[in-house]
Amino acid sequence: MIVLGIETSCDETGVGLVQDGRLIDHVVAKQDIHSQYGGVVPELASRQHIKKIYPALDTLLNRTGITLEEIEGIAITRGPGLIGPLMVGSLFGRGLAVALQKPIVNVNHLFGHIVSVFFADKRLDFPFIVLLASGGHTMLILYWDTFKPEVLGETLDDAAGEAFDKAAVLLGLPYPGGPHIDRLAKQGNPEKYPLPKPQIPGFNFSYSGLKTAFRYLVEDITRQGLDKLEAEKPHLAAAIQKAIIDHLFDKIEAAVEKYGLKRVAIVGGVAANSYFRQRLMEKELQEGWETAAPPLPLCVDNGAMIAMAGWLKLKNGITSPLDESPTPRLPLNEFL
Amino acid sequence: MEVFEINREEELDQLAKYILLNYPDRQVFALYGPLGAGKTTFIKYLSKQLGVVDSVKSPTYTLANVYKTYQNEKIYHLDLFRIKESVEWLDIGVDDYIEDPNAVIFVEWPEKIRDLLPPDRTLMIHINPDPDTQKRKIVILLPDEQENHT
Repeated sequence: MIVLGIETSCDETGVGLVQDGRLIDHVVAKQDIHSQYGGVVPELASRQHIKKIYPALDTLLNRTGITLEEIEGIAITRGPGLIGPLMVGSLFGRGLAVALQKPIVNVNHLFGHIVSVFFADKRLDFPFIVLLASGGHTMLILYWDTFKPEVLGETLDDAAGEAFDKAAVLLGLPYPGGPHIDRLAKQGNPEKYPLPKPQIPGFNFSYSGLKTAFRYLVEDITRQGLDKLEAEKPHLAAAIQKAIIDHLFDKIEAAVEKYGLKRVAIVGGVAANSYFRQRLMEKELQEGWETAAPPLPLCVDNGAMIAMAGWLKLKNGITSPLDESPTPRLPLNEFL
Repeated sequence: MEVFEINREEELDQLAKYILLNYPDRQVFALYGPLGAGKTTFIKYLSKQLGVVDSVKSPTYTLANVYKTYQNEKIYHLDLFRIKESVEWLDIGVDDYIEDPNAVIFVEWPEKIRDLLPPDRTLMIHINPDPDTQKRKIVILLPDEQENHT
């Protein structure tokens, strides 16, 4: 069964094709217009989605040689996300479903990220621990079975990806900041500027205190001159990166210990961070964890993960009514 | 205008209660302050006093979070950090949130939509962190006092 997935919850226009649980191909049309505004502007985002969604699908079909008639189901993101962009993808997908007379299936964006782990080379046995970390979300999940993700904890304030982006702003780096910090940190010493560890009980996360501490640190160094700041930037990037990732690992390790599970997957945009992946690999080599992460292009928002989630649902006989609308507020446990 | 000195985060609980009791006609709360000042944190305490059942998180990436109180009232939490002033904000739909008469609205980085804030329903909250002591000075202003203040 070939399933088309459409993802438009934020700034990425993504379309992807999955056949029987395997990726065929996918296209993400980046909305470069946002970097000149320093972020995502929803109305512009909606307009860009309208402009890009058909060319993206066209590119995907041309590249794979698959025709619309061969598609057996269409999966769309229902939420959470920005209502304008969600509406574009949802209506495009539903229109296509009506025209092709194929079933439509609504997908929770967060569930899409979770099942992106099935694109990894390694297949982990259920149950396993999933850490989802992106610009908008940070959650620790105990993944019992395909449709049984149990949320153990989530961020109480900022998401991990947002912490990267805001740290980048403080360092005067361009948006989005995550990849810039990743690159800069490679030349820095993470131990030069120790940052406070967030002290949050249980499996929840918090990044607001760390953000504030980093702000004071950067201001302190800026007072010593802009040359000094420029020279220290790699060390500062390395320090904040380590602090953000350490906090994620603290919670992952706590879950590994509590549930006696050494199977861990990371998903979401932050899972593309090279230091994060390297630390995970060390766990595998040194402590015998089994780990998995999606290929880099499938960590950020994409249509393939929605296609994967849609395929899983359709395979289990789950479809959605055509009049089911997108919704900006959609907790994982309320709609899978 | 009122000025408060905050030494510990827990004191925000009392301040949130005080503000909601003393400014009952205010429905749009505009929070000013630099990155890491504690805007989202203070909104957490205000939301708690209003009876929000959802967890309050930074909407920087999601732009707008919608929460419900236990009485099923709507709370909008807007974050305009990623919007530049040069953008025509009317196109963005922010006004739809702010004009909703049945909701409480929190706005972070409101300086970007100065003209959209309704003068008769807005309360301005400035959070100023002291870089040396890390204490916070919180200044509360009505919109007409704001003009004299800045």
